[in-house]
Amino acid sequence: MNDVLVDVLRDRADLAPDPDELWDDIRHGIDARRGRRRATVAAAGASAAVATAAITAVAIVPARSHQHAITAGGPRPAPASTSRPTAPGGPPTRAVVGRPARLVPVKPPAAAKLVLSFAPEGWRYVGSSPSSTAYSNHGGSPDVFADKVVLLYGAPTQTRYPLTIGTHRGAIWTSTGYTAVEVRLSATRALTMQVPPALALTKTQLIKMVGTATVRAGALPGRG
Amino acid sequence: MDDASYEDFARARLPGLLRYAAALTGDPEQARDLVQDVMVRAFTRWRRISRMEHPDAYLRRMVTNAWTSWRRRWAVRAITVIPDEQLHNLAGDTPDTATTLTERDALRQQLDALPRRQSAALVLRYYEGRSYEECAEILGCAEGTVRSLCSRGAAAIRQALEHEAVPSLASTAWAKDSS
Repeated sequence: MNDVLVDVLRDRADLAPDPDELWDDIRHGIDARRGRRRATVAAAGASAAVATAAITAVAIVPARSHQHAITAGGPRPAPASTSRPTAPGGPPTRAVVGRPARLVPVKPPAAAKLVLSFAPEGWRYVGSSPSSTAYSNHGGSPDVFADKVVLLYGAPTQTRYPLTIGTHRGAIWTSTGYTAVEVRLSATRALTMQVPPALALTKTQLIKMVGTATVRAGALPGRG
Repeated sequence: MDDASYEDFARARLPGLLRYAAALTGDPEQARDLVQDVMVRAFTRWRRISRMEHPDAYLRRMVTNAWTSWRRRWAVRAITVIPDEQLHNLAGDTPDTATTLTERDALRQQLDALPRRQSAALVLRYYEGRSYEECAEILGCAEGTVRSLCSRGAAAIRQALEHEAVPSLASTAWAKDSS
């Protein structure tokens, strides 16, 4: 065994993040997963809790072949207040603390199959799979959804879609660790956007984000 | 599900697991994401994991499997910029800093270029000092396979270092694992 290799590996290990800080993220991830499970269970029942408030008028842009383009035509939302409420289930995480929830146009990444046209200021594309795309203000892996804005393409998860988003039906719900907006594209396909609640995006902003999202050819259904 | 038992276990094992992941990935952010992902998944399976004889080894296996199956294209695109200060720290207290920097940086790059199971075997064997038997349990393979992974990993690094004219490292004995 060579000391140099051991030293290099030890030096790499010394770069390990603070366990206490990560523990907070793990708890957050566990809470989010519990929330998703509860949401799924709730959706299976007739009493699924979904938001029913009216939304601004939205219009659908005809999609190209094999694409779903949903464009919100409502008035541009005013910038959100800079005062951020605490996320349900715990304090704001490192990912969203102090970030203004103002939507800005973002250039859709060429490689992604699910893309946003608007994202919270300071949030950028971090990666994607054929069934998910992640945006973050702190980098990180696109495979870890906690504290990220995520687009998911898959089967519808809700039993009720009380909103109208373009020509599609939609639903918004909040769970521990995330707020979700789902657009039912067909009987078997839906586009879901998951955002950290601490961003405190208004319903209009959520509609605008998901309403201008695009599902490109090559997207494959999955749950991330 | 016993949250308290999970938390006790997780808090006790998290530092070691993070260091393992950091040694494996060479990137603290990836290590963070990797361990977070694994620990959240471990929570959902905690009832089963907690009954295992070696839950710690199982978590390392989860980290290793997650790492080896993580999308390669993403890893290729992820470019880690090492600040000069960090490179100096990597060098340690040696008289010939320039040479050491070059050598260690070359070694680090070759580690990153290895197939992931090979680098995992090297990290488990050389950094964590585990026996071949323990490495085999974590990697989910036979001891002979671990020996082969270590040997091939070491040989690949040695060959690359020779190609890049870093002879002082290429000729060192670790590349021929005889233990």
